[in-house]
Amino acid sequence: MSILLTEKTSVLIQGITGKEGLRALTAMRAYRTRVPCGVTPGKGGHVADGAPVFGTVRDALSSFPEINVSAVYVPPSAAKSAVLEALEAGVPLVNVMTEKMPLKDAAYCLAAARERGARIIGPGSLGCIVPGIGRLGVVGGPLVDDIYAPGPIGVISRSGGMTNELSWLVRQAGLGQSAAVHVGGELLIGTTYADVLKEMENDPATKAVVLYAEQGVNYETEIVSLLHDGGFTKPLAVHIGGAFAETLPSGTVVGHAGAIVGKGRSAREKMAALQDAGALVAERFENLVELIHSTTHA
Amino acid sequence: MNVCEHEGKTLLAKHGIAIPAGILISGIEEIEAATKSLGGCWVVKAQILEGNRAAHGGVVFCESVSDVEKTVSAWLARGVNGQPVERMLLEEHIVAARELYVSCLYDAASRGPLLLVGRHGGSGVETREDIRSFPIDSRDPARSLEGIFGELGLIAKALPELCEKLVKAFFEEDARQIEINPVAERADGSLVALDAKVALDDAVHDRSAFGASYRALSGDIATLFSGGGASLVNMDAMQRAGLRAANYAEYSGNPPKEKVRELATLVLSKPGLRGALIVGGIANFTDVKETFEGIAEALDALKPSYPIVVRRAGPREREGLALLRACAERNGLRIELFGKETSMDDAVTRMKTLAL
Repeated sequence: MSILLTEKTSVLIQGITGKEGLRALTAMRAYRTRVPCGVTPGKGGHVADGAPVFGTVRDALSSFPEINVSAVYVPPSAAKSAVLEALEAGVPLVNVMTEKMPLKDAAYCLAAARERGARIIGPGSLGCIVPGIGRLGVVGGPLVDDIYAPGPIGVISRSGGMTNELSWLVRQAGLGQSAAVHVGGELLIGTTYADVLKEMENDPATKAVVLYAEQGVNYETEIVSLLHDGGFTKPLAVHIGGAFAETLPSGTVVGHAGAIVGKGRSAREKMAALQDAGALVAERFENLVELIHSTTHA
Repeated sequence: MNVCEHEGKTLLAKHGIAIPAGILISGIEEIEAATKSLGGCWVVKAQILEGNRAAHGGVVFCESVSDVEKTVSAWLARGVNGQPVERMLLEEHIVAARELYVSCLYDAASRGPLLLVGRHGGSGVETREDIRSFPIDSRDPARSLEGIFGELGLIAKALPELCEKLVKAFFEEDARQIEINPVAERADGSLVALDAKVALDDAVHDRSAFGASYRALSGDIATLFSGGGASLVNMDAMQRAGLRAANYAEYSGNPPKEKVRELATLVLSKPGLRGALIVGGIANFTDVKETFEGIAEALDALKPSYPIVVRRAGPREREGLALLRACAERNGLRIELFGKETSMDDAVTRMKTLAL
């Protein structure tokens, strides 16, 4: 058993004829993830690197009814209509890779997904991977087999690059990952740390979780509540990046759109709250390894 | 992206929200004419992006022209709380029967817009508990508002209309946050926005090139990071190691080498550097070779004598690192190159040793 991806996962790429869509197609196939087709409005009937292209999500689904995930690689201005189209066609999991999606469009899509009971990961997500099963997007890039291997550690990250870096720490410790999820770095995200933790709580493959979060927009309070309510009972090790940013003027955005100084909470405040709630907090990012060991040997 | 008060107020006025009569000035010589045309007493406000502006003396009530002149010349000479002041907003003084608080913003917890309303405005309001919050459905804001008009009207008669305009401005201007604190309620019940704190959605308003950012800092170690998360973790590691960054710089995605060269040149040419850290995590899709070509070109031109530590991994990492090695050899540079076997923290520690 695994979270988000299974042997039955079948992925549609929206924006499959663009550069990023094609790159994702290659990456997913290379990791033995099924991508039967894609969609690009106005390009129905074309073929993208051997995959049939449809003009609409509905057309794609009527030819490939097994599709249960959409990976969205369209420009920011087209993201809202692409996501809504996938939701309206009944796709239950939409991983939005588009970066810089306007906030009002993101809010619109998240509300629409909530109403339908569908899940959005992102926007601004790089994707997710269940080692040995498949990946959505390009997580791991060409080094995927160096960094990822099936194992007991769940990985959650606010940053795409740090998803790899954290997973690599896990591998260097001689362990593997049950899943790695990049939730995205934007202010509004459809699947938060706590949402993934809930999935990992119910996932027998996950024995412990490591999490990279950042100063700024506050999604950590949800984790605190989840821990207090007993909604997550496995060991959890967390690092919050951006302690240095306390010295920057309020309103400065560092690295990710959601890492806004003075909005939400500082790295120190977040670490203190999580520690109080029972999470293991790593002062140094690299110490997450030792915390992993202390949890898995316990 | 935060905008100054006067720009924020212009934006509110465009959507029919009343603001005080005001004139933007940038020098002492403009004061006399401005005070005359506004009449009465005035409030003079430094146009800086400072959260706690009033607490730092950036808002002053003046009863005479000489008061205004004294305040303005002090700001121009010394700034406010360390920030230089270039422009001031001179406004008519509005007599408020009471002050309210109104704000519209995107909220992480509810994953959508919220309208916040408080019966008491003014500073310190953020920590008070009497602020009511109302979720706004992005798909139909008008309907969300209809549902709360009754409640808003009980707080102040003109509040429903103000909130309607505020929410409209919020969506139409692609704002991330609009806060009006305080809103003055005058004796006749009309509402006036005395301040405007507006942040615009960077995704719409700041399409800055290719996803790179630069900020000058006061230290002596140049930094060039790849990836948002890696940049934070490395800046933190530098702080712990006692290294002071000369700048913050980050690029991500797949920038063309010309763009990386520009950024690298800016970062590496700052005078007085004692070292440079060029660090990134394990890239998913950034082409390490192409981006490093840009860095090598900058190094070829600058030939810096200070030590440089590089740590990077990802697509075409071998080619990228080989290219920098060749660049170091032909220019006689002091570069140490590391791959993913060396942690980012160890790269920072190595920098510290070399820069001593």
